[in-house]
Amino acid sequence: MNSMTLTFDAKIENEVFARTSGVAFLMPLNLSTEAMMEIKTVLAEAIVNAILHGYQNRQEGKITLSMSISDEKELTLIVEDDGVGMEDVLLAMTPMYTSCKEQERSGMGFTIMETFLDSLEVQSAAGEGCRIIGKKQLKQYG
Amino acid sequence: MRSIVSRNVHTFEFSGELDNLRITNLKNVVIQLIDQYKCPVVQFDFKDVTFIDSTGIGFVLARYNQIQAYQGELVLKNVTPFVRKILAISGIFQIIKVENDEIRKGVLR
Repeated sequence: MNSMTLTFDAKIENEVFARTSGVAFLMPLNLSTEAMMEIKTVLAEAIVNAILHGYQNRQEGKITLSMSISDEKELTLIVEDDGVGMEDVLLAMTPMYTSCKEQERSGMGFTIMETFLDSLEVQSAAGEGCRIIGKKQLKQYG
Repeated sequence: MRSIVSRNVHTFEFSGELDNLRITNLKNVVIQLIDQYKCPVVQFDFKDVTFIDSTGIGFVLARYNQIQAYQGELVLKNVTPFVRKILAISGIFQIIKVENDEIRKGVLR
């Protein structure tokens, strides 16, 4: 078992820091480039979601990224924000759905996360922030 | 990013990590340049792109619409396997053409 937690300001320039730190935590596992890129993309999607939707791009508030690897090499990643939350999680997760079309968002964030993870759980309600929990078995990539 | 206009083909060469911050910084310049030349063919060359996410998908789709609006064509070039994987999730290849320099060279040989 190994774990890490990172808390950072919800500023868009911190997204590269957080996703890069997240994959750096996994470096000792010697995963394939493919697996690393997939996890990096999942992190980018979850963090951008927290900044743009959770905090409405106000560049304030905190985001917490936690990652842990079990003895069985299962990765659990959690991205949490304390922003506006989502009234309808299922709608938000629908492919191509976006709440900010005018900003040229594709609405593919959750679809990408689901594609690259074994399981994805989204805990959110209006006004109650958002917690994204993703799991991925890394055994076959090591 | 490099922008090259030659024989009615407008090529944009992107490089590095095309993440949310980069796209936000690039977007308006690309919109302006496309509008300025309105070339019949606009190429996005992804040869040196190492990362892209859903922001990139939104950007490509929005430029596709911008170019379509004046009856131009958007072509994606040298899409690396990772970029291809991300873009494929969105079904973008059903509407946007992809060209690959390597494949073309292979055919000539």
